[in-house]
Amino acid sequence: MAEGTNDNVQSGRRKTLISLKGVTKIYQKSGKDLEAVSGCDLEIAENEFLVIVGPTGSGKSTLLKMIAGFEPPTSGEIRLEGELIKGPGADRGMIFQEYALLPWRTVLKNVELGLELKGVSGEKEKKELAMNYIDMVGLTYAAGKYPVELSGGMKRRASLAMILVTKPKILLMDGPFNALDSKTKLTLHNEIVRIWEHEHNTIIFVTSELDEAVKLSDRIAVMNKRGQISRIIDNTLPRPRFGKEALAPDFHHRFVALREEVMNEVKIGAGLEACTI
Amino acid sequence: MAYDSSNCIACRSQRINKFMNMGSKEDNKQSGSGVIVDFIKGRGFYLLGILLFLAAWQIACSLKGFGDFSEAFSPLSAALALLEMARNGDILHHAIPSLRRVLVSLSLAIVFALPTGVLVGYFRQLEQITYVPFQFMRMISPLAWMPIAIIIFGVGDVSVTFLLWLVAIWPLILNTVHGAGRVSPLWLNMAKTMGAKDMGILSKIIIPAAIPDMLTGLRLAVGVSWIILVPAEMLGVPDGLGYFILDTRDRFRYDQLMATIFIIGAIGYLLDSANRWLISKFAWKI
Repeated sequence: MAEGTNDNVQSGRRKTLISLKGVTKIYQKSGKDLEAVSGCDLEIAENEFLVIVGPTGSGKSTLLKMIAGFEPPTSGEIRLEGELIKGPGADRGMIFQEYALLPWRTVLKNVELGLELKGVSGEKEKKELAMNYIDMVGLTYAAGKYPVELSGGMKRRASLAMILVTKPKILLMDGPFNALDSKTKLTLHNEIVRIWEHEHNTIIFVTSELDEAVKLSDRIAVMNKRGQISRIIDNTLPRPRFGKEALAPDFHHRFVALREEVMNEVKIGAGLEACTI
Repeated sequence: MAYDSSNCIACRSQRINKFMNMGSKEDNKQSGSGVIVDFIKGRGFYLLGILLFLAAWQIACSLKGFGDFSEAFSPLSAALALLEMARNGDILHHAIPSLRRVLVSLSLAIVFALPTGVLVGYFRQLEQITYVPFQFMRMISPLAWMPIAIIIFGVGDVSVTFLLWLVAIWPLILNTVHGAGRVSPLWLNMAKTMGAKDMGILSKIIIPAAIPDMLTGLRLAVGVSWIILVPAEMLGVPDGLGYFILDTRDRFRYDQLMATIFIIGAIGYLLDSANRWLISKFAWKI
């Protein structure tokens, strides 16, 4: 069951950034109480890459939304550096499942939005900063295009740049690479890890794909159908996890073993009936 | 996205333009000399419509369809009267005050209606508070307010401007409310996760998102203002196209009356074209 005080090597060494204590979220659905998230304890360390997996309807996205501050927990508390989270803030940049690009702005102008909201007013300064991140996500050639002209993968990249440019301490990613073709997905995986290593932010990443979870994470939190965190699994695979290093025979063995371990946990969690009180 | 592109005038006119351009591109590929044929192919039916309209008008007059004075109503007599009015300055003398009144009242309507619409659209409670009064008020012809306008503002320009303002604000307000109210919650959440506060959300998300609807509102407002202008100018102003209609009637100059009607139609068409241009230029599309 929930191992909130998981003393793994990483979180032991690094400072705790976010802590969840007994976080529960109950929705009212046609007169019944539906527990989406149930008694979650979790500590997320600074500069950690945490991936949350679980079957559909296990409350992964709800948990992320609460950390982002879009929804308050029904009970329990979420603290960021000791302070209770009361609402959305620029320190927690969220990337949504659907892309939220503004259709009347070009990619460049969309990325500049975050800077405008921060009060950066110099045209040249804005453009320079925005182009930095547009280059980083590999969209330089499409900076002048409008969202309607972009493919799904390009929209993801643009959304990523839009949030990254505001330099959030914490990146909350809700299935950001769902519904992308596998080649684009692989590229973006490598890119997000590169950005994370470069910007030293903390990432909480929600997905239902286990390959993705094993490839990206420092730790994997598995949620079950009752909205509980059933287990937190350390991912000690060496980085980088692509290219030449990933071809080592030992690496492949460890990768698959870890994926099977996570898969088992998810299977157990999916077998449980959703809890209705 | 929640937007139905077929409801968007900008999209429709874009589609028409695309359709017309498509034809010409294909023809250009076939031969370089097809430019004139092309022009007629693209616009032929528009020209045909104008010609049919004039022909029907002329025939109805020649057949004495409007009684004994039918000759004076014909497009030919009107065209001659138009020339005469252009020479003696009647056109400018009456068209300019009319345009001035419409533009002044429209500007005042925009200044009042757009901020109102944005606020009402953004704050749900405000929309509920204003819903019944707004829907009630907009169904009343501004001409019904005429006696009250004259009591308050007296006979003259101010009353006319007030009546035009009163008719122009409703399409502007209601369309802006619609535009500001249907902003995708996704955009709002994204702005919030970037740390945006109310002012930032209003200026960077809500207002730009509502611009297509504001322009649609403007187009409707210009249309009704121009229509209400003529009766409004019959209320004791010394110039303007509405005034001139009554004046030509009193002088039995039915050819000039028809010419004035033509001018009213032509200026209305140009105003609407200007609006369509604004929409195609500034309304974003999905």
